Amino acid sequence: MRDRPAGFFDIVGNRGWFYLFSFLILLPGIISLIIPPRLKLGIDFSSGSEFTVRFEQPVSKDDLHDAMAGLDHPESRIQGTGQNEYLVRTKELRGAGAAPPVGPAPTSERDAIEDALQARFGNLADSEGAASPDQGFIDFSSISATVSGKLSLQKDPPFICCGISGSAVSAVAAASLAIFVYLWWSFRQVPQPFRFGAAAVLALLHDALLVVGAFSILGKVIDTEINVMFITALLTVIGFSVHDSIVVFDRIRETVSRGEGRSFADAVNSSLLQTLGRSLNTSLTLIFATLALLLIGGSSIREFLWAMLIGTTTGAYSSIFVASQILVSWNEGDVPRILRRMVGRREPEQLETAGAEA
Amino acid sequence: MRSWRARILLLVVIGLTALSVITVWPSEPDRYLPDAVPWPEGKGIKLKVPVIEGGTFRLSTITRRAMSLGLDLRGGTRLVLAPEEGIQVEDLDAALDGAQDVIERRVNEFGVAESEVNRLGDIRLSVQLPGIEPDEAIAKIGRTALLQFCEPLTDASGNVAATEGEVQYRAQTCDPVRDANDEIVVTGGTIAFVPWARDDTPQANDNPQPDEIVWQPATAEIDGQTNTLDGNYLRPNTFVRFDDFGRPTLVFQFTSDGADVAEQVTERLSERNYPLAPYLDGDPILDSNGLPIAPRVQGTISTDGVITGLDSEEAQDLSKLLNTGAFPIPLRVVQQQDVDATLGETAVRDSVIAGEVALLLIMAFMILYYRLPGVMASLALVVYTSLVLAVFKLWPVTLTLSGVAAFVLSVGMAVDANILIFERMKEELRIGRNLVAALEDGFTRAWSSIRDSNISTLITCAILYWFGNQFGESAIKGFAITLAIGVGVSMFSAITVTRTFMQIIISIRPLARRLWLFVPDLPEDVRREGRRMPAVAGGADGAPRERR
Repeated sequence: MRDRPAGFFDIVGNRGWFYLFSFLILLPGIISLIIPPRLKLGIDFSSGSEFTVRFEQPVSKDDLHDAMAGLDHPESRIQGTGQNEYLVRTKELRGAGAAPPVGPAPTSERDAIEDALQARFGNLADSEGAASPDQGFIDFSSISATVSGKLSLQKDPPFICCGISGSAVSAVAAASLAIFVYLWWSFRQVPQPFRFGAAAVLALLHDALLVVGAFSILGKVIDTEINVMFITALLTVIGFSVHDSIVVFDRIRETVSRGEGRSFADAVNSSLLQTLGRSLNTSLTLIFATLALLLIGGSSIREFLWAMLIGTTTGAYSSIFVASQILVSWNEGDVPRILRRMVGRREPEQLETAGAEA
Repeated sequence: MRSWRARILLLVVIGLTALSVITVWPSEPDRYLPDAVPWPEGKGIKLKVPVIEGGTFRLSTITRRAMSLGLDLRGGTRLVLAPEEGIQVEDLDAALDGAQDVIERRVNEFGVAESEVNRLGDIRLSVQLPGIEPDEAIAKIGRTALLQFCEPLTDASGNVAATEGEVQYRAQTCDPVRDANDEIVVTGGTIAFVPWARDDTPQANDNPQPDEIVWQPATAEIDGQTNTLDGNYLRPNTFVRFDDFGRPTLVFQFTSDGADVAEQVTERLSERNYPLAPYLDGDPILDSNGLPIAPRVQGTISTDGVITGLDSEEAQDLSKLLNTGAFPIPLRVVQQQDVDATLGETAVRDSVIAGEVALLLIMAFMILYYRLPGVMASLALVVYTSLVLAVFKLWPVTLTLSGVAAFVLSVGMAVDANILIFERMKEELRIGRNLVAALEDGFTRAWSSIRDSNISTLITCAILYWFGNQFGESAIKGFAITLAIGVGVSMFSAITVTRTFMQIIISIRPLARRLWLFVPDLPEDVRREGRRMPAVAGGADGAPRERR
């Protein structure tokens, strides 16, 4: 007995298409994540170089940043430290190569940057502010990563292996586990409550993967790097994804526990339709906020805001079209059915095993 | 009854909001608000709050002038630390790593959140601290913080060395520099050995003053080894106790090894009633009158000790420094400078204005879509924003970009709670329930999803905070704290504040009678019925019509 509208509003009936859609939008990111370099680590996560530069003429921070970006160092972090003096942190600058047996030694990247800055902004001054044509960077030095992913309290990390990406993965894993357990407990009146926890976590991973994948692609295409802001955006996306899934699940819980003799799929479908307005409105408010920040806020956080925008959109999408559909698929035994179709006719015992494995 | 409760709550909400707005009002309002209006300037806030310190209640004043902002939004102070000259260490690398750990502990202990500590080159450390003056940064974060107990230099017959001149000590110690002939280097005077009188004798007044005495580290011979009594022998559990007159006493304990050293030192010194002076990084610790603290030793001390006479604030700082430990090697500040925001000078202004526009957009949307309840939700959002910002300022939470992101997310969640409630309310109204019942039902039914989503967010925050702490990743920690505060306040605002506003509104008859103010698309039959029966009558248990 079907008790749900046909066409577009039969969300549950079209779940195959939504899975396909999710798969298609995730696929490029997954491919990009397989091909190294998977993600480009920004200066927060890798060691680099730091130097102070002082100009004789007034130079604005934005101009200096422009110049550094033009010299292949858009990642430069520039802080003013006084009159025309800036503290610049960049990626590790390549030193001079081995001197060839004949001819002049090749210039190092540091020299090249010094020359280019002098050509554009005039002579550099020494730390006293005195002009000197031969003056280069003041206090040029290597600097360690700000975020090394090391445990600061214990010397031997118990279960972390690989620096920042390892720690990010463990943080997401731990948060997922906690959410799973909480939802299992919170939905205990409904049959098979752990499915709700699992579906919410799968939707969360879906959203996180989409954002990470998008940044992997952007890293390859326009050299977008992973920095602390990216981690923040990812956390925001995860927070929103779970929040949104729970709101939808809550309605499913209510509809299911009211019973009324309908099938689970129908109950889910009508819950989704009931919460559609709310889901759209909530996403719209967040998207408004992000868009406002994107249009007015400074350019330095643009990538971060894009991550937020992608994340909130996919968060709202996944709660309806992924998390809830997983619940239905699980209930209807979609996976065993597809497996059955794929392996063809088999003996009933084997079918049982296939179902259990799925 | 209900209406009285709502009115009292309304007064509380208005009062809280007013307080919050006063708290967060910026000192330069023209930067953030349209400058056509002559806005008054904020002066920050001073609060007296009771605190428990060392087992006694005291009033402590907290002063907040500006929001604390991180390195990315406002910049701060940068210190470069390098080993004291002439220091030989076997493993400099490990020592600097150790110092980096100590700095991170101090940063936590002194609440200078969102700092950065880097290795700079091979032998230096770079520390960037947001919103702190250089002097304070050095005093709290950048010093070696090795406590050393020093005793007077004496000759064979027990006379104490004193001088009018300046004794030169080795860097960051009370160990006098000796020249090639093993003579102590003194500028502007000579060393004389003078007799030392016990405290209970009239000659005690003629004893040399602490600043005239030539000091040396207090040592003890144990198993043929010379041990200096210093901070390495302290347990990291010092605390400040206040006596009945409010005078602070720093209480400390020696480790078991330290107890042996302390016992021998104090036994020896107490025989002749010599003074014992605590030094920090080679400087005498001064009392509240600016004089060196150098009490005469009266008896043997082994496990516990106290330092009295300190200024209250200095005692607190010293206790924190001792508890977080000293650098493994003496370091000194070789460079200090102000640094500005990493995100650019206009970052704060831009994000504040963007935030204001975002809030206005959200309000406009809520009012257009939900009508009168939307107006109430917008008011609740104003209350919410000012409360959260006030908490950030008073806590104080150091806001960075990740904190701002968490705040935006929490605004979204707060609005979502209202949307959930109003959608429920509309559903109830559409099936013909009266306003009071619909309002109550809207809140009760939306509660379970608000609760679950917020609790799971709080759980996530707790885990993120823990991870951020473990990895020394302050951005994650800041995000978790800000989001947790935001979610906590949003529960209050979405439930209590909006509900109070709505209760007040529906008790105003001219508004409550016009149902179109609440639901734009009410079915015709319900509308007719609603017109017949008074909207407010019926109470919370007004029977619903048939449920779908």
